[in-house]
Amino acid sequence: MVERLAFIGDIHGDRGRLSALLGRLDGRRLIFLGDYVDRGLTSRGVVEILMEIARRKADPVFLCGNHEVALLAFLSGKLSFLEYSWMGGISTIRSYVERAREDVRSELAAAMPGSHREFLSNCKAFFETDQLVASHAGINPACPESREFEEIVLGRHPSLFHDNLNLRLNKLVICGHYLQTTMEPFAENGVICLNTGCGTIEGPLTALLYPEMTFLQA
Amino acid sequence: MFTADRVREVMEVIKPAFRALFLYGSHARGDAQEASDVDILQVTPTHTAPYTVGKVNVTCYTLDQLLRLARQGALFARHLVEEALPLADPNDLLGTLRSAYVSPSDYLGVKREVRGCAPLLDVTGPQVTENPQGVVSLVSYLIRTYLYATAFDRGAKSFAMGPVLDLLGQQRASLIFSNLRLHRSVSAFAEARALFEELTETTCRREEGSLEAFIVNASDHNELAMILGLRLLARGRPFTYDALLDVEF
Repeated sequence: MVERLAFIGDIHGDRGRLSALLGRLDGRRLIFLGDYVDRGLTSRGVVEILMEIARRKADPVFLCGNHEVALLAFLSGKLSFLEYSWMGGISTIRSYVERAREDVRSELAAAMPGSHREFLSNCKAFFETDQLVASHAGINPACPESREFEEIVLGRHPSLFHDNLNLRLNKLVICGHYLQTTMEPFAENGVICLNTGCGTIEGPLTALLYPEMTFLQA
Repeated sequence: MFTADRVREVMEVIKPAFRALFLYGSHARGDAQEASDVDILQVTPTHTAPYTVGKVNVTCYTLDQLLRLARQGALFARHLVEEALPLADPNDLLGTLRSAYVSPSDYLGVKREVRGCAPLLDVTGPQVTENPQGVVSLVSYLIRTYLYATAFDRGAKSFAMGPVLDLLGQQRASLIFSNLRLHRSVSAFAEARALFEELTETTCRREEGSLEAFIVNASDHNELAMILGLRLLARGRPFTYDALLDVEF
């Protein structure tokens, strides 16, 4: 029997939509596609909900998005305040730091519980079965076998939306990352993209129900 | 008169790609002086940084950004809707903007946001010397925006600065703008900041110990202060997503 899964797209700090969607996904194994933080106003709340899911739900999978990488890179000093701001990181800082005083980086590091940092650090690069591969940025059509972190988490592969990948890969590709300005999921040629603008352009949060291949939005 | 030769000169400096090009500001109104810059709006397919070539200042917005500003009744949208002249507009985007524009009942919100930017002007002499372009642009922008918002609330009909200053009895601002443009000095900045404080009845003092901290605190209630703060911090450097790819794991 095929396991019932739900893939959840980019959340980007919108706790309200996450809560609303989760209530409709009972009985499924949850696979989150990354980008939990930044841009929306409640990144801290989103991380808290995800950690609660990690404690209570059956074997959920939390994939890593480039925004989790950015947050961790800012905390460790590898990304500047300006660079992280450009990624929409100010709202994440604001969700943890009640009032910034001077050194924003160290104030965020002090305000963010270690468990949150650990949770974000432990997110996986990809989830794969015989039928599908899911990662934040999808796969590189020029190198479809690669599971390198730089390719499938940080990469940008706009040709995913042009190439007829299912002919070459014979696997369904499920990703987030690429903003669908129509606020509808992309589902063509063996590629499904679930970033429908949640927390970014006031778009909905989208889930793919598998194996039914139907979508839910909140 | 913006002649065909001037249009050709502008077209030569425009970077690809664009969906439309508009002339706005004094050259569009027909009240430009010899020293006046040429203000161009380039409607771009994706987010693009503004640029300047000689006297041509090119501001870049996507259509989505412009429509958002138009629906908000932003001053910049009013500027375009009332004064812009199309240099290239095959799909009548100016008409689309005019249809989307919602005139605000007043500009009190704009003035509140500008006042909230006062801490951004809490900079020292050496900081002015380090980043004269950024600091001068900032104080000029804030003063002009406050003057326009005040004047429109008192019935002004045009963005021509002369009549705006006459209406508000602030003719001396003209000299202050001129000094800023010509000298970009600490004293010219101090003079402009004093005018800002007088106009807005604020004090340019930042409570936070860093610009970053101010930006974070302003972010949830004053988008203008956040954006201008980031621009000041960037000091003309472009933001780069690619920096992420250099991060080691």
